[in-house]
Amino acid sequence: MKRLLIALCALALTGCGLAGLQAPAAVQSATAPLAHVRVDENALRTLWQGLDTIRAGIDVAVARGALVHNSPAALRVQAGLIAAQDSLNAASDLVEFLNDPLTTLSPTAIAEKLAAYRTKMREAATAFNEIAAALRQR
Amino acid sequence: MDIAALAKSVLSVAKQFAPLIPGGTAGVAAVEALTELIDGVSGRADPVTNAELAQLRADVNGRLDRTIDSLGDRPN
Repeated sequence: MKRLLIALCALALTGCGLAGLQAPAAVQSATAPLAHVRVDENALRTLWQGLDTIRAGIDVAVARGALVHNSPAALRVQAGLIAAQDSLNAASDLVEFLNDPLTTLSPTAIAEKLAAYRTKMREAATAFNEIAAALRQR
Repeated sequence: MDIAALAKSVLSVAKQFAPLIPGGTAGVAAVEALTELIDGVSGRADPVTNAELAQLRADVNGRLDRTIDSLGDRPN
């Protein structure tokens, strides 16, 4: 069980710095009023695929009757899935907005958007943790 | 944190999931599926496009919605 917690903590921690940011020099210049930043989508892609894989496992659990519709355990797993889905959707919205070539923002606004993105990725990692805890207590 | 390190973290979680999922086969299959996709990610040199990410997101959201509904009535 300790190994599970360690693995989940590792995931949560990586959520803080997932994006490989490729900010142009203009972003770092205080004299540039507007700038564009590009976020590496691969981290987000991997989390979506990871969530999809875990979802497939949960489908098997439901099909075999191990998770019963509306049971406390099923509802807890459901809450975790909804939280993960919401967080990844919000993070995706931010990435799509930032990576749009037409998006130009002030350095302050870019920093705020990136902070929001990291927060959502951390929330997704926490939701993964909640799903694991719910399955463990099933 | 690079993508390889992230993939390893996600894989660690998936491996821990395996024994928790009824029928070890399903759990192992889930881990294998994740391993395959991680291999695909690690071998990928070009960045994901916004359109590609949007398609993945739409596909996973559709499947997730069905799983979420199968677990219970949605909270209001």
